Amino acid sequence: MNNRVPILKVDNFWLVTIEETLHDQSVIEFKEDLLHNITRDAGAGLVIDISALEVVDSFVTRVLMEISRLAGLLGLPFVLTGINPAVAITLTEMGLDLQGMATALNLQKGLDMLKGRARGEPK
Amino acid sequence: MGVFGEIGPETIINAAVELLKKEERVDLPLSEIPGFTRDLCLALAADIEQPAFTTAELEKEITDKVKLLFARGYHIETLQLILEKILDGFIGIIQSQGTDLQAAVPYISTVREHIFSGTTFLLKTALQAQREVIEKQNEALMELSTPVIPLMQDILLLPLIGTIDTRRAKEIMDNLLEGIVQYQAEVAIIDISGVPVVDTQVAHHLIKTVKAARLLGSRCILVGIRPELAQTIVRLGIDFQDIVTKNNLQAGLVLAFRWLGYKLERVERDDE
Amino acid sequence: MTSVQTLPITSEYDIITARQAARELARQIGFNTVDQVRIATAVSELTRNVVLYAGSGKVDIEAVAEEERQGIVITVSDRGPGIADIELALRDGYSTSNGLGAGLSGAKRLMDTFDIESRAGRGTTIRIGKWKHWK
Repeated sequence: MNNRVPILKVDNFWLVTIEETLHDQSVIEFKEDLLHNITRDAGAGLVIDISALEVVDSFVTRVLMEISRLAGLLGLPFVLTGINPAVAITLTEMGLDLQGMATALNLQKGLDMLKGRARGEPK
Repeated sequence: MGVFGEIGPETIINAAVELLKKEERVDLPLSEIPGFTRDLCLALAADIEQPAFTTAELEKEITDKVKLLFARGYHIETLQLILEKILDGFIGIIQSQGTDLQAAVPYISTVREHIFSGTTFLLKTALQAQREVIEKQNEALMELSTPVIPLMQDILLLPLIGTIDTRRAKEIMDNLLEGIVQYQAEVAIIDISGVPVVDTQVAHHLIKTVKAARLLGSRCILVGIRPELAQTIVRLGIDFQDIVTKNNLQAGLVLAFRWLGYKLERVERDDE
Repeated sequence: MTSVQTLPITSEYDIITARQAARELARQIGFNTVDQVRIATAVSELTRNVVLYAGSGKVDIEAVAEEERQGIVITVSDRGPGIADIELALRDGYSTSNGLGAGLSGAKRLMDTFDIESRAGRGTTIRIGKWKHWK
């Protein structure tokens, strides 16, 4: 649980797969690592996959919103992928509908979305 | 020593079975009566200090048997009857032994109490079994009534037919979201033309479903809103603004094609 | 028939332990996946509040079986500063620690029952429940 979340850059895209349940401190460390990376070198887009997360509460949501906002300020397209159905229902019921955030079913589709956007396709 | 005192359970079981053979109300096969009589009799007589059927193993054993009987379509009355006959058999034996009935009254009433709590237990178990059957039927019905159809690559169709209550609305949401993930569908078309009434609650569930689907990375198109329903939505002041609607399935499909970059084209056929 | 499991909350690590325990019990009771996640998320929100505002506290997780219904009841309590204005704290979007403010109101929306008792300077006790069958 104390592992840092790996942040990869492939083909000029930032790719993050959160593999396990993170406690609050790890979430904050991850956010700082990520912000440090993308402010230094924005790249063409950012995909964060959270399909392994079984519970997403307001704290994690808030951090994701912060990342989304900062990516927006940097002009970095951001897609959140792999939210599982139970999490989607729970977030919706709590009124956390991740407004303004792009979502995709899986990492590949998220990446395709960003590549399409980079080529100027409407999506 | 059990509740039947000096009299061994075997004697009572035999007496009760004899009485039951003369009964017309028994709907169990004759071969099964001794088995059940024995089970019930032992459950009754297990411990005089405790109410009947209170040993955990016995309780579970009898519960399972009652449920099995239910599944096979037998009635609880038969088991009740067996208990009655155990009591009758017991009293008969006391009489035949020439015991002073007056003196045996407290003794008999203890047995009666045990029989009574046994009956209560059976009724409870029967009700529980019945409830479980209804629950299962409901679930089966629910699955039948909310099919999620993978129409083609990336497109799911959810045709809703019949009245939607809150429970079914939840079921629909769960099914659709699971379907979206299972088929990795980017577009889900929800057809509500077969739904007669949509109240505020159901409308909110639909809106919630669409929002949750968006979080997964899938977009919904709501089709088949009939004029009366449109009026209801306006009158109730429900906000459908964030929801993409089309008046029928065809129009919804055309939109889905456009979103996904599909083009529908008729080709010349040369084989006919 | 009840059995209570009590877990201490002293650090953020306990948030995860508590919600996993609640989820596991919910699974055993027979709640579906979505309900398990609702319950786990509500526990996550409430226990995080304990860590943030009170520093420490405890959570009681309990399976409840009654004649007509079965369910889970979770009590989160602390001896922290308490909540001065409960109504305000339950309002959507309200937060004193720079969150989205979904904590309390979110937990309330995810559960069937939500009871809160709080006194300034004395602490807070929140009891939440979810039932499998409303009869």
